[in-house]
Amino acid sequence: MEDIELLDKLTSTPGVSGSEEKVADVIIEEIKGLCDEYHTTPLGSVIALKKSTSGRAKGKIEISAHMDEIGFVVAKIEEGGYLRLATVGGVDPKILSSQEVTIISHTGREYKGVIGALAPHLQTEKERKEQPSHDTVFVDVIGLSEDEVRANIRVGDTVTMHAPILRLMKNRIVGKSLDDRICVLANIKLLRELNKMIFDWDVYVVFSSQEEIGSPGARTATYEIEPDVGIAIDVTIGDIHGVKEKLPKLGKGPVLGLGPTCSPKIAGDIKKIAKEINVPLQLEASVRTGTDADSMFLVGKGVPIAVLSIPLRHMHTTVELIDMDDVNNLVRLLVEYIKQLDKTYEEAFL
Amino acid sequence: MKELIKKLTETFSPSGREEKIREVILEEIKPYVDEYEVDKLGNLIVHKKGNGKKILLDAHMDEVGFVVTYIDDKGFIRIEPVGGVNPANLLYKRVQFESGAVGTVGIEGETVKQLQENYKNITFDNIYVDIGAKSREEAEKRVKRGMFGGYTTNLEVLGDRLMAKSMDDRIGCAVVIQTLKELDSSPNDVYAVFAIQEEVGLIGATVSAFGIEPDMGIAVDVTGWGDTPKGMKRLAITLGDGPAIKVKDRYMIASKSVVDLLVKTAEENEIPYQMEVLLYGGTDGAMIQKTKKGIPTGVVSIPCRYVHTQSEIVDYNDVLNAVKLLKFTLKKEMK
Repeated sequence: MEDIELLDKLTSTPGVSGSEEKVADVIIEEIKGLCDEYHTTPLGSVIALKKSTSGRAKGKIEISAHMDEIGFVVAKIEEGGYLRLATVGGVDPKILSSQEVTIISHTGREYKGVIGALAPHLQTEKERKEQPSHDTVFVDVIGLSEDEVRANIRVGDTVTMHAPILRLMKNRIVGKSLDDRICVLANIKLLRELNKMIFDWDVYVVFSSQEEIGSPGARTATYEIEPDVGIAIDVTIGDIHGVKEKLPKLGKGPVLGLGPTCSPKIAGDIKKIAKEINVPLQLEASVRTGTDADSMFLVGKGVPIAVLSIPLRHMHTTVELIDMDDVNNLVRLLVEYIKQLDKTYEEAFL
Repeated sequence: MKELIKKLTETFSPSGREEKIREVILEEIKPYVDEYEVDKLGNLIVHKKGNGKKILLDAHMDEVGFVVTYIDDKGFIRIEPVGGVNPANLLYKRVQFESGAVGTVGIEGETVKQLQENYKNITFDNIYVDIGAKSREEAEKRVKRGMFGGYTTNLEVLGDRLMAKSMDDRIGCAVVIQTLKELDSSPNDVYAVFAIQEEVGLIGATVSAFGIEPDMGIAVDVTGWGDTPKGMKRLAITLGDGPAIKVKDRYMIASKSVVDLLVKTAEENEIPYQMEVLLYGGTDGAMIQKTKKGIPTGVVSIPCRYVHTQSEIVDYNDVLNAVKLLKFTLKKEMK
């Protein structure tokens, strides 16, 4: 499948944290021919193992991309059949008014709804100045009476934002849930590459659940794997109009995280290898990485970690924007890093 | 079961000082389990042997309280919270200490204006405990720095409703105890942990499942409410509508397999239930769920008003139905 076609499928499949089954199915369909074994963990992460092809399996590397997305669950059904929502992950109430949503009922059926807004004509002076909050947001379920809503939708049912399909302009892509489906795509592309090459370590490609609410999916998958090296691939905030702070630029390469939790050894190797193969690399410092890596780091006796990110604009909206060049460069970099693992670790022990 | 609830809620054991409540629970439950253990952190783990899947029930036995930080020359005592205690709940209320000493809580204010200001902004910095002592020496005979204290109220029966301190989570302890008492047989291997220090960061539950490695976890705890005047408008929890089956709170998303199992069991046995989406808070379930390779975990919640105060109110029918729901769940053959 073409990258864009697959990405479209990945981003249009609902997978709000804790309800990742459907997106996991899409991923499994794609990877089952690309790995030696795969399974779903008790918390819903998918672990695919591509064994060392050189037969020298000296170590284990885990590369994790989260497959969940931010969204909502129904918190309450109000008079008239309107739904109140509870957020799953960091949703900004300011982007919600006039969004279309999909309600995934516990019965398995899906319903469409809109997040309503009070007409400007009806707003008081005070209301015009007020910021929207999650306490003011409500969903109008389309075409269902109150009785039908109560019969088919219950508290706890998942709600996702329904965004137009991906659009591609030059190398740029706009869509919803590119955080972190873009790295899900990168992980699948990586598996494809691993099938064409000789490498020494066992590679565990993880599609983790529930990153947006604190990464229990990556934590438990990492406990199972006990990797020697852990890399989280995720998105980071890219340069954006009006922000003076120096942010990573779209199209200028993947971003390497540097901070107290990031292993200097892994970061150093990645920097060196990027230079060798002419992959542009941007650097970003942070105390906590804000990714699955924070959880992977503290598993068992501890795991040395790194974070590689794709710069992304308009994070946690339905118009997340990335540059496909960065994704291709990320995959190239991971491929080369994996190829050289035996060498870099042998040198480290000398 | 009301006697049991009375005994549990009237026992004083804040986080980190669970010895007393552990003894009470152990005495209650000993005849109904095959073995028990107190682990290194103080969790009480009981085991009712069976051949099927390992299922871990959890209820935390600690309660919120406070700790003495300083005693001044005149014998007034300064405190810090242990767990989520709103200092406004304490003002002019009776409090007790581990030693058995009792007192009340006063507030600073050198002028009427300042007193009014302080009433609007009650903090642990402007309140103190008065145990009637006239000097530090006298106070220290009853209360020492580092000593724990907390609420002191008795159980009140208000029709169908029960009011007491520490319903959070002695009502969960009562439900788990009663469930094991009534569970004559089960195809499953049933463990229950009465966990320490939930209120200060889910401490007991961080380790309780590690040794047991259960196939499934079910925490039993209290949840919020939305059925009082101008109550939380996004919280669809009503006392008396049945035990709540948690979908999510701030700390976890309950595992779907367990949610589905609980809902199915409730429906098959015509037990009333409500779905719970809590906008804040968390339970031991969050830690059990992410133990080791991950343990599918859910939570059965008892709707409870005024959580973390001296006057927590639950509906007795919700309690009885929670016992029923757990009992029927444990009796199920699991794949």
